[in-house]
Amino acid sequence: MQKCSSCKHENNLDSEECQQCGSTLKGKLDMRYEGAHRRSQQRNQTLIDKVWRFFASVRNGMYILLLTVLATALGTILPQQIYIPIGRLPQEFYKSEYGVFGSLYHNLGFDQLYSSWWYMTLLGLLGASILIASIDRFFPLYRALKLQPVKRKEHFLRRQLYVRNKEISDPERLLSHIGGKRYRIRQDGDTYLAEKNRFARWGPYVNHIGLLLVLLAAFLRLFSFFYQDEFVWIRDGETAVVPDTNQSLFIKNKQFSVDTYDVDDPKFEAAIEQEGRTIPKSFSTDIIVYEAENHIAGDTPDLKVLKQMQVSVNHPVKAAGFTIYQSGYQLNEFSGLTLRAENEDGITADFQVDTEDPKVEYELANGLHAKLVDYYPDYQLNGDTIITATKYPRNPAFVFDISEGDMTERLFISIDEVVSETGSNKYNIKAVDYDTHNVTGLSVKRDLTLPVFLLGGLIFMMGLIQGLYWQHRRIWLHRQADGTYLIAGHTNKHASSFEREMDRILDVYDKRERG
Amino acid sequence: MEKLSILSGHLLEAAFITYLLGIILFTWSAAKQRHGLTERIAWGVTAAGWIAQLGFFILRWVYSGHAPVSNLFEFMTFFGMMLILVLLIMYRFYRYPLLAVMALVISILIIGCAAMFPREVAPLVPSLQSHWLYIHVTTAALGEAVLAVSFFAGFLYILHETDQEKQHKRVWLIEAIIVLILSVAGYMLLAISFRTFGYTASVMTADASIIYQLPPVFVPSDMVSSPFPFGISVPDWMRGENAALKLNTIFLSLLSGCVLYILIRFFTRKRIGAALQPLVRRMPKDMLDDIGYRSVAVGFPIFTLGALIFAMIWAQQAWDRFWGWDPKEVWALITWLFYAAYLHIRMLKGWQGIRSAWLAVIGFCIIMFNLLAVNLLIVGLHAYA
Ligand code: HEM
Repeated sequence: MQKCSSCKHENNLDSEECQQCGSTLKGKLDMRYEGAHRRSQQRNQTLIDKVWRFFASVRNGMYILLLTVLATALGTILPQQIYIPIGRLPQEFYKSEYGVFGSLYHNLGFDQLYSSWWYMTLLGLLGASILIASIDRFFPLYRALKLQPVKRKEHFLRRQLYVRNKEISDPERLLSHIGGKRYRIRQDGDTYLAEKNRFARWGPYVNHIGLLLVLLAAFLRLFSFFYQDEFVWIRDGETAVVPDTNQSLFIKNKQFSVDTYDVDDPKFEAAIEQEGRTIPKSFSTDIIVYEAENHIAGDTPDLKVLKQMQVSVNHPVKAAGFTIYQSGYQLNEFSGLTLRAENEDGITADFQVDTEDPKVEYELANGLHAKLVDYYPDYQLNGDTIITATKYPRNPAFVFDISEGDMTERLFISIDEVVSETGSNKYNIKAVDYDTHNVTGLSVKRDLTLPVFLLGGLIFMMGLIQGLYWQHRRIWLHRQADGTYLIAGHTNKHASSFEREMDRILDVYDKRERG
Repeated sequence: MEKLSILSGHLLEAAFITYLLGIILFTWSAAKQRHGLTERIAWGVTAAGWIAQLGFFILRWVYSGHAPVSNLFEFMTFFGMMLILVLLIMYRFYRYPLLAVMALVISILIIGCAAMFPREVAPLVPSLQSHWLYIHVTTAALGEAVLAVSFFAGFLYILHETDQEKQHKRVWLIEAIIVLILSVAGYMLLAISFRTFGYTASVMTADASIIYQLPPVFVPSDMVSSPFPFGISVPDWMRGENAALKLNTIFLSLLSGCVLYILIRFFTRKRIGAALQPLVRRMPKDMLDDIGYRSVAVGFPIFTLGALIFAMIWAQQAWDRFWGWDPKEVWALITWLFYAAYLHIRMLKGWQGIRSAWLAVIGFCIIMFNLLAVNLLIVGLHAYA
């Protein structure tokens, strides 16, 4: 289609004058879609037509795309919630670190922007736009190029990008030279059409299919059938069940190990000193993966060894349809604490507290009675309140009621401090010994969307290269009434290199003619 | 072995100086009406500088035992090297000395800034011990270098097209870009001079002491003492990590950029854009427009492959997820979306030429933002952050 500059009527590409107002159509032809008629250019406008028209427009697509860009950038002004320090409450973190702006950012939900409904909606609109714009153009374009005639009207040729009038005594020789540049030549009477790299025109459609596949894969991830993501912490020597596997998959941590770089290595000395601490070289866990044989709820299942292996950072392993990644660790977690309580007469008694599953009541040898009131496995002061940062015993603290008869004192005890909450200071209690263990953090994943992402990425890359590294070029040779030839050329991009190629082809022909 | 490391450092210095020489030669060649011999010498000199830098890269690799693309210093020097490589190849097709000057200036500034970051050979933490890391970083840098060419062409196009007789927005925007580029140079000069004199200032706050490498003009709002008498305390809401230190660096860079700008204006006696225009005027503008588009067309797939696809493959192995919305990742995505938009917007009527050129400038700003600002202003989990 070409628009008449005076009355805006849409005419065929071949028309010389406007079918509505009769004025002559001038200027270079816009060849982008070969003048094919597209659905979005239809006049009758039902609601569906209007929606179609909206999404088929590149301009609207770009509004959506740029809006997505802005939204994406907005999410990096402050850290996303997943990146704030473990144990900090979002509400409090954003307020205390970034003031009023931080509070606002949090309250507007920008701290979880990329999973917000409106960000998802933007991506959905983008997908719709890519899909509809592509369908709207591909089929008409495909048909137009497939059915294109060799013979074109003279005024159509004169309005191409590259136009020359030339005397050609030996068209065959010129054509064979053009053929040498990998053009394929068709003939219709006295007219020739040389064409190459038409496949490049399909590049955008191929890459858009790739993009849609990637969006589809992202959508599939919302379903647990395609994407399951579990995480287990396992102490050295212990076995844990992988959650949500119907009690069928167990992993044993035989040994977790950390290796660090040698501090005295002359090569890395300076860097390690700058870092101010040792730099880890590897994290790895020797694991055994078990499958539960015949499990009945409540019973201890029989475990069958599936695989023994080592998993380390950057070297995930596969077992039972899952991929296991080394993704966290904790050194020297407390497994048990020995506390020593002293009564009014200075007589002491020791008792053990299991940090995993502490008992509530303790009868001590010196007649004291300890009752556990509160337990913070990973205690931290958050302003004036005591919280537990995680549920793992990394920095345990307890609140005990110590009593003898009807005398009771409330004490707060952590590894290195004791505070009497009632202020009576009758009894004393402190931590005297502890046992520790290492814990490995394994991420256990089943992700059936990965192949879809990969395929999407591959198709996208293919389409990109196809569409951007090749250009569709055409040369028409048309014999005019006076016996000279009209040469017209079209390329879908990079006009100046095409012009160079054309000039060179004609130059070479001229030189041979003369010499 | 120790000698290897020292030799490698000297090679980088040699490359830096050779590139400076390249700038002079290419500028000279651009100023002469006809180019020929000077141009060829300029190309040869630049190529020699590149070989020296390649030597730096290889020796450092041999010495440290891993490809030197694993911290900010290494990545930035590598990016500078890719810019020159792209320039050397591109010059075979498009022989415009000014494009070469642009590439060399930007490359030198980037390599110069790189030297301000810690240069020690650092051991790799486990997550970085992956071949995919090298593949990802090198391809991404190459892609960005090719994309940068669209900025060089675009900037020259804008200089070419702007009517310097009239005072309008565009004239001042050009000057603003020049001030920005000068600010980077200014930062480099400041940092080098203060480092040469061994200057550091430690500013004490209620609970920490912050070491400034430059005079602490901006200090945290809870400052207790500072060796510099004219400190301005930043507003109370600026509490991010090292916010005052960062603001201080940005302020002093811009200040030095302005000083450099005024100095240059003093000599040229007209706007710098106006002073440069006669050089640019002779370039064919349609060709510049074509080069701009072409470099995006070539660079976009390389960037996609390196900065997104390879990055995701690596992230999937190292962190069990291919995408984590880490700021550096997000800005790579923004860069990618922006250049996708560039390719589409160019198809719209009236968006070729000057408007495309401006888009290319914005695109390069985004790349630079991701290279420097994300590391300095936004903290992420990337090794270079
Ligand atoms: C992230 C999103 C997108 C990417 C990466 C992308 C990629 C591309 C690329 C690389 C091209 C080829 C450009 C050229 O040859 O210069 C292209 C063409 C095109 N894109 Fe997209 N695109 C995206 C989104 C969209 C959207 C939202 C629309 C909707 C309007 C759209 C419609 C088109 C059209 C109509 C073409 C031209 C097709 C042709 O020349 O026949 N694209 N796209």
